[in-house]
Amino acid sequence: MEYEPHIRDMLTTLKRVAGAFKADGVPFALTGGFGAFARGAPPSRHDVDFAVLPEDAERALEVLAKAGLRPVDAVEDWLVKAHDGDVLVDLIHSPADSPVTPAQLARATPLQVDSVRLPVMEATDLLVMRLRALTEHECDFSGPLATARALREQVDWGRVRAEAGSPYARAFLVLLHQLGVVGAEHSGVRHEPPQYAAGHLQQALAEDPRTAEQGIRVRVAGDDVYLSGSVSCPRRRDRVLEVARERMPGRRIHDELSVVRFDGPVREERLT
Amino acid sequence: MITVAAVGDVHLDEEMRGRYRRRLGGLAGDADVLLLAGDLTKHGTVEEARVVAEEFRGLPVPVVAVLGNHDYQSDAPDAVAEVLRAEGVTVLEGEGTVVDCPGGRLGVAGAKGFAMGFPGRCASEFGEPEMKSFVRHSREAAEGLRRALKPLEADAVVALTHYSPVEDTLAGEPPEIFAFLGSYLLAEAIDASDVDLAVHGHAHRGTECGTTPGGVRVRNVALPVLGRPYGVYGIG
Repeated sequence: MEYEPHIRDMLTTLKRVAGAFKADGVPFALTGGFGAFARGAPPSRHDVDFAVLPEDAERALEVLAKAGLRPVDAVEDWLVKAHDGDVLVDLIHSPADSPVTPAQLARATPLQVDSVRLPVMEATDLLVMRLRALTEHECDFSGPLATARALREQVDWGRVRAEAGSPYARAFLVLLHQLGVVGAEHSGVRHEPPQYAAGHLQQALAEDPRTAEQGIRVRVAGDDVYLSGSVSCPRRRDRVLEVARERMPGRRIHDELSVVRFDGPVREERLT
Repeated sequence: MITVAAVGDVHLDEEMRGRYRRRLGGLAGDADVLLLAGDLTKHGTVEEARVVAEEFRGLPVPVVAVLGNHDYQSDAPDAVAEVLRAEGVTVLEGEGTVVDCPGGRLGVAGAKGFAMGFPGRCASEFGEPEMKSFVRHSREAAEGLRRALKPLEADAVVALTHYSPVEDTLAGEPPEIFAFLGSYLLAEAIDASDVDLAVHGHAHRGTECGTTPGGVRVRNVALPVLGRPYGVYGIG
């Protein structure tokens, strides 16, 4: 297959690095954009990323130096870097404070990339790693989006949802749902019909010891939850709202509750 | 004339302590007796029962109570009743008591009662064991009320329950849940005796006034329904 010169250079680097690691017995896996490429995504135009164990990072860099690459001082503490001509190689060992584990490397599958076979990080691990890297300052979804589209059938979305829990990752899953890349069940987006949600909340308000309220009416319309009925004192009203917010995360809770008043004048009724 | 004060569903716990009692200052002038129609506590714990006992302790009139479903929530209704009795509250379940009032003797027959529904829309002892035991509990509760009413010799008689004997006083509640709010067997027991007034609670969104098919006045005295500390009813 013909690639443009820049991609070809990166593939050459990739092969050189993989060869060096194999020769010196450094455990590794291809990850990032080229990892996705190896699994069927379009070729990356960015760096060549490898995952290595944190304890192997320095040795891996020495191995690359021996193979003719030029180590670069990295300011980040979660990766080390080397240049192969114009191509930058990232050796990622502790992305987003989650060190690369032997289990992750063991899960990597040997795949053919251009003319070499090398371990490529599992699709789920690869995507989780990318999503964990999203932060306040780095939250461009376009890269992970291309990866997600290409790897959607190889990814265990339940695991992605469980392992990439940041607000950015959750927002990304909502985006995937909106774009139809994944189904609602994987996106964290509610798919429970509102009637059931209302039924469950109403029962929870009775059964939760914090509330023990049987007379609260619950109406759910889209993202809005309306609570009505009366409670005995203001603190109980607060707790009804607290339980409702807990049970209905992401929905707007509307407080239409009233506090029972019993300060009316006493009057006698004569039963005649 | 015998004057009865009655309230239900006060749902007291530690954070409600004192709130209710401060409304009881006028009780001596208002009534000869105070009836409590169940749901005295929030979760039916002994701690909550102590709050109730202290709230109603040393009042100028006798206090007679039945328990409600909330008072069963911690599976300790006997312990709850015991705490109340220790502070002088008469707690009834399937039994009656006679209170000497200046205007005569007032008989009070008390039972928690139970759900099951009303004629035409009513559960029956059929099918699964859970269904049978549900309906059986309702029958036993009504039987308890009947048993309590029978031997009462008094100048006026009140039937005191937590669950409602009639649909009238449920008006305002969603009709779909009427079957969970009372049982017509309670009304049948009331109509089988010479009863002057039936009071109940449980239906917070119901209405105060109703009658049994036999013409006995029924009053829903759930605190949210009353909007005042207690209802006062003059008999005779």
